[in-house]
Amino acid sequence: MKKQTKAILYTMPAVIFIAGTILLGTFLAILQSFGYFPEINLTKLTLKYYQELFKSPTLVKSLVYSFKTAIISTLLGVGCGLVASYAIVTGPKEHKFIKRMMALPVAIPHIIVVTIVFNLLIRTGFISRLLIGIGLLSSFQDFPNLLLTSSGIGVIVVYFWKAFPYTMMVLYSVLKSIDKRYNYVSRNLGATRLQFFFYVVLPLAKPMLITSALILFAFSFSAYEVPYLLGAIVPKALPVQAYIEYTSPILENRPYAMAINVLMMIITFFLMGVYQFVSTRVERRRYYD
Amino acid sequence: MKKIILSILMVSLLLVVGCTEKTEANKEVYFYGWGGDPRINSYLDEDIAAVMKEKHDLTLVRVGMNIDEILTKLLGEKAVDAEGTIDVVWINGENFHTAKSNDLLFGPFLEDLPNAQKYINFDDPENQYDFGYAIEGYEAPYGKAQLVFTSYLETPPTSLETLKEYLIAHPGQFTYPAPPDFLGSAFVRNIIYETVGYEIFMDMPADYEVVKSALAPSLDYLKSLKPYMWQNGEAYPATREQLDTLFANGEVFLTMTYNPNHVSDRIDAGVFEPHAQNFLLGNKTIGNTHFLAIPKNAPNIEAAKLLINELLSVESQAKKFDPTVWGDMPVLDNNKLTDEEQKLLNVSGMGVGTLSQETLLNNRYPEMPADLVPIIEQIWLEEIPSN
Repeated sequence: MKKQTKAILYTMPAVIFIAGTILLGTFLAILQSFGYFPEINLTKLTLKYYQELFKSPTLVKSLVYSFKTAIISTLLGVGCGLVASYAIVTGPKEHKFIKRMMALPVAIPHIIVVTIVFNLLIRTGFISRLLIGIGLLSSFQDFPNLLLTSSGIGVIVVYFWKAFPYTMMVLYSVLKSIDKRYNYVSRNLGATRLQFFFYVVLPLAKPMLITSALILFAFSFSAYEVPYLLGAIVPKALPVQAYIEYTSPILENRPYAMAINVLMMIITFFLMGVYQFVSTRVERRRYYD
Repeated sequence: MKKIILSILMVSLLLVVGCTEKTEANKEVYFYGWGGDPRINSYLDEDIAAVMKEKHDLTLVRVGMNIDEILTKLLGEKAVDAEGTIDVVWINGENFHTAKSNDLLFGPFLEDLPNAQKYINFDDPENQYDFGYAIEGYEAPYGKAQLVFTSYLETPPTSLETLKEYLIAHPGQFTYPAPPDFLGSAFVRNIIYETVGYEIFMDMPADYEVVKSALAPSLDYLKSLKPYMWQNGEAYPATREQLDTLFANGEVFLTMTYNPNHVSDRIDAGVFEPHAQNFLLGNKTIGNTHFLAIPKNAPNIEAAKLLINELLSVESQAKKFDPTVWGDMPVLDNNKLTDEEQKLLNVSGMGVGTLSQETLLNNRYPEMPADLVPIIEQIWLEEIPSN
């Protein structure tokens, strides 16, 4: 008991600071989304902003666009990250160089990656010129439009570029800690390498895998700068819509931005709830088995 | 125990002394504004800061912050009635409108400034209205911008008709940043002025239907360009920088900017080829003035006035106009300057590929009233990219 009190006391300052700022911010955002913004003399609570948001014909398209880019980039990133970290861990010897290299993209800000991807992937960009140079394309007109379109490819590439090494780094330490004897035991019992991967490695890595996928999804679903710079004009990703409403000099538009933010928050919280629910059930089942 | 009490006393005494010393001095003046251009930043951090230190013994502290955050900060401070931290804010247009109508600004102060009395033409509409909104001495002009276009063509299209003819002959080579990007939005307004004139907008009510029916010919023109535009007019660059990249790569034939000296800077940096040349598309282009204001809760209003006054001196404006420094057009009235002062300004402003200040100022549209701008941006979004 005493130990527990001590633990609570020690974590209190950090918890108060983090929870306080997050809760206060969230609370104010929710208030504003209901039209309470006393600084500009809006004090009547109203559902107007939510009604307008749900009436808007572009909302569904924006949602689909945000979901699409976030899900594809997360799944690709997590999948490739898992395979790559497994390959490094089980490889014949430790590659210090590869380990260092994989930490690099994690440290590069998204905005820089956007610039790199823009210069690589526009029709007159580096890749197109390279293909023309080696004779695979006759002119840049033959290079497809990848950026700023509703396909969302540019956005997916940037998030993938960040998600892949991130998952690799996180899973590397998990996989590294798996007891080597599991491998010997399973192989001794006749498991193939693939079976070892799917029945031993994957279940052990799963909690971390899902956690990183959730973090990556929540970020790519709700951050605005990448879809703002590389996404389409129509449909606009939800966070971009929120950003535009927020930065509008018409302060009366702020509640719209907040309504969009609350909607995005609900979606991410819902997903985390699902994860929590599923993972506790899985754990319980394991316990009773 | 005694030792502890003594040391606490000592420390607090030190703190008190430290604090009083600081308030006594109060030798800082805080400038808040957009900080995204290193050249603009170093103009303030180095050139102006040196003058302020030397002449007034004030330390200029520049804080880079976007205007929406500044407004949020001022609103928050107003809500709790707190003294602020901002002495001078770089502002214009819709944001000035928002700040002034929410009672966030100190003023009127413009006519208190000696250099304003000396060099500013108070009767010039550009110094009376900011995006159609009466200034009433709550802002001091700081610099002028004007929409210009840049291309490599010897005879670029200079009217809407010739632009369309050029695009039909060279499809896919033209685009503009999507509004609400500042520049894209200005480009669309310029097309509007060229198609239906600017006069009707000057006292138009901010009503969606009224604006939309006034825009009909402009929207038709923009729609008629779409099949010949970059990516069939379905995708648009998000920023000026992206448009510059497309232009530098040869994917589009023109780029545009609000800073007429931008071209010299890009040529100097080796991004554009040396024969890039500015031109005006249409009879005139939109110009606007950007301003400086003082928040109502500014901690040091006197210092703020000194700083703004200094920024209105011939030397500061000439330095600012130098394309290697910033290239921003001066706001001083040529008729109020001595020959020598005029010479100083004109010499400093001519960069490679630019148009003369005279050409620009003689072919200049006023900005649209601020409250029409978001309506136009919304109509553009509904009508142009998706249809």
